[in-house]
Amino acid sequence: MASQDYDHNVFINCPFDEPYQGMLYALIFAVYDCGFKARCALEVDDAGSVRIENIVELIRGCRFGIHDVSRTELDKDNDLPRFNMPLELGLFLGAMRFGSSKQRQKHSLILDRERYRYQKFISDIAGQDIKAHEDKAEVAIRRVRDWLNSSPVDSDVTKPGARKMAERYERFMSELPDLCGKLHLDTDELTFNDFTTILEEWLVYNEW
Amino acid sequence: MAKTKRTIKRSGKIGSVSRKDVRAAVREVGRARSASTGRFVKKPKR
Repeated sequence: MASQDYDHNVFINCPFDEPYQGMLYALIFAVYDCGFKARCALEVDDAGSVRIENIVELIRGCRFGIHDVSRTELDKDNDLPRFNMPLELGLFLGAMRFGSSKQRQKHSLILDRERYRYQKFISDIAGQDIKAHEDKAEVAIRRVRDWLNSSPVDSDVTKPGARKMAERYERFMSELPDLCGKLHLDTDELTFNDFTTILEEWLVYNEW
Repeated sequence: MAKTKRTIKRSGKIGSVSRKDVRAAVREVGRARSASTGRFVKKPKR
């Protein structure tokens, strides 16, 4: 893996359910608009491989990680919490702690709905960079933008402001149905790879 | 078997739609938006 790829890859660790989709799109957009590349377990569609192995490989290839633990809550059907996000956060923090010198350069941004909610269920992560997105896409964009802007990678490049970025996100989302129509895709069936491919080309045409 | 006109540019990506198709769609939708909002639209060559 080229070092340049590693330095610009951002692992997105978040829920994949339908109600969260808007937030996922906003996170991906902010990552790309800052000049980085979003990586996510959804990009690997290989039923023959072990899921955790795919995730480990993704984490290995990403210097940055965004972990949204906002959906760590009891499932209505079985009263059990969803722990995939905290598990993958643990893997990422483990790589930062025990990995090679390259892996120790990792940076993580932990997102939740409210800033101190994590203390009730995962208090050991205190001291990490934990921010609240308030379940709002524009707030999530601001968190990602500010975090990547303060990272050591591309530190000589100031990223455009979060408000402008959120406006661009709104514009992209308003054009997405037309784009999908022209490509014979349905917006509600877009895969992660569909979305990022369209976004990459949109950003080329709609430079800052 | 006849070759399909479109090619898959990135394995596992976006079905049978190529990057070129995506680029063309982005350009087309962008132009339409620019025209509707009165922003700069490139004039056709004469």
